[in-house]
This record gives sequence, C-alpha cells and structure tokens, in this order.
Amino acid sequence: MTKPSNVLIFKTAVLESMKELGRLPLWWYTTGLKQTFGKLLHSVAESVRYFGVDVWSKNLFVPMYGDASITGRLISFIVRFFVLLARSLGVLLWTVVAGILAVVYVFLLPVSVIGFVSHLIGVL
Amino acid sequence: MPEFEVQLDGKSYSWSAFMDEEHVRERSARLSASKLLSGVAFGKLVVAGLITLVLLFVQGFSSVLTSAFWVDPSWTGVFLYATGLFVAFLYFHQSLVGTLSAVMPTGSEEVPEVVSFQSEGTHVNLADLFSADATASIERAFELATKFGHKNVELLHIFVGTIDASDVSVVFGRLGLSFADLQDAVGRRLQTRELGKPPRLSLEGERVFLEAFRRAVSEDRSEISSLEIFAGVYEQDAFIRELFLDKGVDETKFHNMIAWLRIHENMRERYKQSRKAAMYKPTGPMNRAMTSIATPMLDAVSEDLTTAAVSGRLPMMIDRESQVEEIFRVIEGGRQSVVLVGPEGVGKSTVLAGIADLMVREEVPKILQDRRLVRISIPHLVSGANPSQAQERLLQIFSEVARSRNIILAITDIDQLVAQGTTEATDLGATLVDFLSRSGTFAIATTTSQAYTRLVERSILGRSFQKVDLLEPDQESAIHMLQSKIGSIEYEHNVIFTYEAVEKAVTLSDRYMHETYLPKKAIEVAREAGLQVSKTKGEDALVTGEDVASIVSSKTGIPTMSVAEDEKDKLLSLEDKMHGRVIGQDEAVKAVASALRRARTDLRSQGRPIATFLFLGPTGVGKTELAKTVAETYFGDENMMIRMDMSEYQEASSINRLLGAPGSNQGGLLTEAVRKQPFAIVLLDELEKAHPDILNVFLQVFEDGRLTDSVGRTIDFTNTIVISTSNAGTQYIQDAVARGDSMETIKTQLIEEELQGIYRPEFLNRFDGIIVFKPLTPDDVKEITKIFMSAVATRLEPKGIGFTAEESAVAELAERGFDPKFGARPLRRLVQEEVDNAIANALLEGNVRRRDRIVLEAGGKIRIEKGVEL
Repeated sequence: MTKPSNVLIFKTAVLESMKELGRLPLWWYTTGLKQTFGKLLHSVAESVRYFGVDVWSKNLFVPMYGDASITGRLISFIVRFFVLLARSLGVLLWTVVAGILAVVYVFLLPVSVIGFVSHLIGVL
Repeated sequence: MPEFEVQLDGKSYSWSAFMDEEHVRERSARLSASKLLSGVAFGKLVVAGLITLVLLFVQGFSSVLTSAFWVDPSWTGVFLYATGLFVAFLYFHQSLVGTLSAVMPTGSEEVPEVVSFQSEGTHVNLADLFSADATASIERAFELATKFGHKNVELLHIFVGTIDASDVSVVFGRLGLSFADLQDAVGRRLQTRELGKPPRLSLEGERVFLEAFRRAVSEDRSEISSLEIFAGVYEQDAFIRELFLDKGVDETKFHNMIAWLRIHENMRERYKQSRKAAMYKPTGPMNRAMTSIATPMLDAVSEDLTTAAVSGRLPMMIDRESQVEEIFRVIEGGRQSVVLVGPEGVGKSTVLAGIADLMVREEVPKILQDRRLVRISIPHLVSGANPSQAQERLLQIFSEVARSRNIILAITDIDQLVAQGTTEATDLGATLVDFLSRSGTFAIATTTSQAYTRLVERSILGRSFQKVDLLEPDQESAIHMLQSKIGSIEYEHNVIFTYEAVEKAVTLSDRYMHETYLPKKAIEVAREAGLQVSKTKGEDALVTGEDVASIVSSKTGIPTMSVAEDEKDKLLSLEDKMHGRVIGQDEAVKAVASALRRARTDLRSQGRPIATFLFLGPTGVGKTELAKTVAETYFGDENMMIRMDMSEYQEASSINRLLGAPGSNQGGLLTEAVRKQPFAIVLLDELEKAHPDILNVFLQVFEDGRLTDSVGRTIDFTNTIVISTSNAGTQYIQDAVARGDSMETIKTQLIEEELQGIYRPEFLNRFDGIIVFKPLTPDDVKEITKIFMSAVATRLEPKGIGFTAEESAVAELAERGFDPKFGARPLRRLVQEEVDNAIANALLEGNVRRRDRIVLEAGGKIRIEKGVEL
C-alpha cells in the first residue's frame, strides 16, 4: 500500500482544519442546528417512553392488581395519579435539560468567538 | 467520465474516483489528517478546560456569578471561551467523520438496473459509499494492475484485491479454501492480460461496483462492503466461477456462504435492537401499566417466555416470518387461538421464541402489546394430581390469567390435554376451550402432525383452535437455520465449522435420517460433530464435511463418507471378491457389481432403491449366496439382510402382516424391519408364491423407493438393495441349457413367454436387472467343493490344525454331492456328514494335536500327518 509521508499528513491536516474552520459557522446554523435539535427532540420523545407516561396516562382509571372494587378503584386512581405526576416530572425535567442544551447550542459559537477575542485583546 | 450509473430517487449514482498512486496517497493522507485533527482538538479542549478550572479555583468559583467575570478581560475568560470554541469545533469535526460524505439511499425495495451514464440529476460518487475495507480492496486491485503493468483493472484484479478483506477471508476459511489453492491459476491468467500504463478501471469493473451498490441498497446496508464487491465479481466473471467450481464450490454453495455472513450480521443487528428494546420490557409478572395481578399458581407450572427473551436466553428465529404473520393474522382476525402443527423438530418452540422476541420489541399487533407470553407445562400441571385435582389447578390458573389480563398462554403439546384418555381428562380440553371463549383471551398452542390428526382435530380443541401448519423447511432454509446456530456450537466446543460441514449436516441428515425432521436433526448432527472433533482433533480444529458424514454414518450405519482410496480398490475388484464365494454365474456377478459401483459413486437415481434385481434359476445354484455376498461386500456384513419368505404371503390379507394392520398402531414386519435397518438388502425369497396384490405393493417400492405403513409413517427404501429370487421357469431353464441355447435367448424367452402367467409385464419392467442363473456344471460343483473344503480348513485353523483335501477326494465329493434338481445344496450336507463327522471323531479320540495336518482322501477317509514336536 502506498503510504503518505508525515509531511503530507501534516500539510493536509493544516489545510483541512482551515477548510473546516471556514465551513463551521454556516454548518452550525444549518445542518448542525437541524441535527442537534432533531436529536434533542428525539431524546424528549424517548424520555416519555422511558418514564412510561403514555402507558400510565392511558391506564389512569384502570384498577391496579385487578382489584375492581370501588375502594380498589379509588386507591388505584389516587396512586396512579401521583405516580403519573412523578413520572411526568421526570419527563419535564429532561425537557428542561434538553431546552437548556438547545439554547447553549444556539449561543455557544458566537458567544465563544466574541468572548475569546475580546478577552484576549483585553489581557494583551 | 463514468460509463454507467444507477438512477435512484432522482440521483445519479456512478463511480468517478481516481485510483492512481497519487490519489490513493492523498486519500490516505486525508484519513490520517482527520484522525490527527480529532486528537489535537480534543487535546486542546482538555488542556484549555483544565487551565480554566485551575484559574477558577485560584480566584474562587463564586466569581462566575458576577457579570465582571464574563465581561472584564481575564486569562480565565480567554481559556473558558477557548474551551467553548474547541467544543464547537470538535462537535463539528466528529459529525463530519461520523457521516460519510454521501449517504446510502434507504427503503428502496426495487433498485433500478445499471444503465449507461447520462449525467442527469444530482451526481453521487460511489467511491464515497464504500467502507474503508472495501476502498482498501479496490486500492489493492489498482496496485496489482500497476505492479504487473496492466492496461485495465479487470475483475480478476478486483477479485485478488478483495481476498485480504476480513469478510472475504471468512468466506475462504469456511469454504475450506486458501488463496494458495487458486494462486497458480490466477497467476497464469494475470500473465495473459493486456499491458499499458497507467491502469484504468475496466468497464466490467465499473459495472461490478454499481452491482455491488445495488445489492447493498436492496439489503439495506449503510455502506458497500468488500463482500458485495466479491460477490459481484463472482457473478460477473465466468473464469472466477470456474475457479471455485474446480475446488468443489458451486453457485448454490457460494451464495449460501454469502448468506451465512449476512445472517450473522443480521443476528447481531437484531440482538442489539432486542437488547435496546428489553430496557423497556418488565421482567416480572407485572406489566408496565401495573394492571396485572400476581399469578403464583401459574408461575409454578409455567415459564415466562418474554422474560426469557428479555434476558436473551431464547433462540433466534430464521426464515419463519410468513408463519408468524399468519399467526398474527389469525389472532387479529377474530378467531383467536392458534395451534401450530408440525412434526417434531421443525421449530415450533423456536416460533414461540420468535413471537416472544417480537413482543419484547413490541413489534406485534396491538392486542399483543404490553403482554407476556407464558408457556404452561402440562406434565407439571397434571403431575401428582388426579384428574379432578388437575382440573381444579387448571381453573385456578385460568382465573389468574383472566384477572391478570396481560397474559398470552403458550401451550406446547396441547394434545397432552386430550391424551390422558379418560373422560375426566378430556374435560381439561373442554375447560380450556370454555375459558378461552368466555374470557376473551387467547392461546398459542403447538402439537405434532400425528397427534393433531389423532387427538386434536376431532376434539373440541380442534374446533376452537385455528390450525397453522409449520412444515419441514427445505434444505436451503434449513442450512440458514443451522448457520444461525453454528456460532453457539463453535463457542461451546471451541471448533470452527466449514461451509461443507454445515451443508452436509443438512443434506445427509435429510437423505438418511427419516425418523426426525429438519432443522433439529441437522443441528444435532452438527453438535455431535463439533463435540467429536474437539475431542479428537483438539481446540480450534476445523469441522469438515467428512466429520459430519462420519457422525451420520455412525447414527445410521450407512457409509456416507466419500469413497476412500482403499475402498476404491475394493469397488473396482468387486467381481473377484464375489467370485470367491459364488461359482460360475458370471453375468449375475457382473450385473450386481456394476449396480453397486453406480450406487457408491452416487450415479444412481435418488428416489429409488439402490438396485432391484430378480434372480431366476433353479435351486442351489447360488442365488441366496450371491445376495449374502452383496450384503457382505456392500453393507459390510452378510447379516445386513432383511429376509422375507414370500411363500408366507400367499393370501391377500397377509398384506397386513407386511405393512401392519390398519388401526393397530404397530408397523408391519417388512416396514418395521426397514425402518430399523434402512441400509440393508431386502431379500424376497420365492417371490412367485406371493399374492398378486402384494406384488403391487412392491411395484411402488421399486418405483418410488418408499412405502407407507399402517401408522402413516413413510418408510424409506432408497438405501436398500431389493433382491427377489424366484424358481419360476426353472424347468425351462434347465431344458434350454441342456439344449445349448444361449443365455440371451433363454432370458428373452423367459421374460416374454414363461414368466407371463406369473408376473405382469410392468412388474418385470421395474427391475434394474433380471438375472438368470445357469444350472451348475460338474466343474462348477468341483469349485464349490473346494470352497467348502477351505471353509473346513478355516474352521480348524484356530485349533492349530492344518487341513487339505486330495484332488480325488474333492472330485468324489463333487460327484456325490451334485443333484441336477437341487444344485449344490446336497453338497453342504454331504460335507457335513462325511468330512466334519470324521474330523470330529478324530478330535475326540485325541489322535490330532496342534501342528498336525488332516488330509482327506478319496472314500471319505482321513489321514493324519503328524507335525513336528517342539
């Protein structure tokens, strides 16, 4: 196999990094934004499944442990209601985390660039 | 400029990459540079992050809360924002590395054909869709062409280029081949290629890349691998196909081998998906919605298949998708309960396992979602209980199931509910049906075909369970099923199976083991072969086709191994060996020997007995002796013979003894004997005495090689040699031989005239050979006498006593022992009376000691020659 020399690799690495740096801003707010938001949305949907909120809300009025008496139904409803609440809280928590991550994504690049440049100029 | 393309979803996929040395080097440099960049960016990120933390630690973490920290210039700020930049860059770079620059199209069931390049639509370069391994293969092909100074990179170069790819080396290994086996032929072929510089991709090569792309798309691959190129080259190049054929690999073998790798890949993929889905599936009796109740009684007599599937303990289901769909259709369609009917070992339990696996992944109809599949064990249920107690237990279980509402019952061998036989037991079936109809729940049951016909079909269970047939898979599916199991067998015994071993396990067990069914019997054979090889050849040994054949042979007693060197000699000298026991009868010996050779080299037709002969001739001329000789030479022992005296079957009703009486549940004398000893001679003595109806039965055996007994089992006769002997026409033969007619005339006259009243012409036509045995001549009898004498000598040998007969004594015995009516039969008696008796007396009188020699003289006298004293 024809092996490239280290010089060639280094040269290519420098060139590629230049190219990537040039492409970064555009990518960040087009393809990258779409991809990242897609992933975050998907993770929120997964969290609904993970915490079983869909199953629990569907069965809110179904008695637990097959106990269909009035008391059984009542206890069951109360328990289910609170369990559902707790589980929904889990989903909510994750949604908030995902939201924060989305906001961080949007601002990360410009804030970093501006911050880096202004601080660097300032300290120098 | 490409020559070909595939138009798919408005895009034009074609090959337009340069593979010359410079481009290859550049591509390689880009790959290394990308890795370098990732490393450097990550390193910088870590360093900047660490410095930020250290600075923050020095100035106090609380400063982060002040706006001055973010705005006023500081070194902490520089490093903090630099960390942010490196995070952004690394995120971008990794997402570039993660996705190839082009994306494989998905969801296309029909991929359009390869057409000439027209350059319409967005152009996608195929080179971007090849895996790293595949790109390396193509690079090697170009390198080879450059090295030889060839003008074109042809299929042969690509073929050689792919050989080092990991997938392709597995193909070679499993096929029991190495490149060294093909090297000479490939080298010679390479010498003849056209020279020129620099090498360009040939049109065939380009086409193969596009075909590989089509194959990858139709199989939903995420990239084009070396295996697709390799398979494409094989399909397009007749020379390479011939190369493999030369090494015993035909197209079916090749494609099954490729399928094997794909099965493994799919299994891995499916396993990953199941593991992922298993995270959401509860393993206890409780469903996710917590609507079910505890089921202690049920748990005591059952196994939760969904829990087993979650922990990955169930076997993978292969090639049974259509049956599962049918089951789901029945369940969804309203008539809810299903009974899977199929012979033992075709994979009914595996289908249940497959359904459990689909339930874990929730890829099932709504009615089955968030439920568990629970297999009840009927023996457990009824053990230690009288019928009414068993019924009580069953009712208790049903009440648990009804209240729990998340249970689908799986009942294996549902016939056991009926099979108890008593009236109370029949109630168990009725109880089940009653429960199912009232509770609105349903069950998936299994039973064997025989039990279904005998017990289930006409019972109440048969009316409420919809039947889904699970037939024995064909050989190709069975090979795929076995391939999916080989991994675990290899792991268990630390051996490696060749493709040939897998194929033989299926084909040989299918051909020779008729009591059990595919794929189970093939899996058992493979498992035993694996164990045997690991014991005899040690760890990491290769299990070959011969190893599997020897297991099948030891199970069935049929030699299935390929003809070995010493056996070749034996087969070629069959006539000599037979003549050692049968005197005269040249034509008969020759016909039989040829038939045996045809059988052993697999040139015979598969659906019939190995050979069928009718031996005609007077008594005592060697008909039975020849049959015994065949048994000894071909089947290894003269006792490998099923002898039926057809004079016992003169009544039409005696057919019941032959095939078993209807309803008796026992096979017949003939069918049972052949079932137990499928590799033997079936000798039908005195065939002319059998009733004509019975001859009709044999007509079927000769034609199809099988019989169905009274129990409904199909008995295989394809590994038997059927020899019928008959004395019909004896008088004519004797007269004609005395007249000096040729054997040919005698035979024609016999078939056309003499046998007409005894056998129907179509019956005679079914025989592979009708062989007329000549009456013995005085010379023949003398030879036979000599054989008898040498038999006497053999019997005396263990005692250390020698024996010879003088010529005059032999001549005298031959003359006295021969009777034109009974042939050589009286001779045996005579030898017993005259020779054996005299020797016995001498032994008893103590006249003969070790090293003495007994000499038989004319007149039946014996002389003892004293041996040397020690």
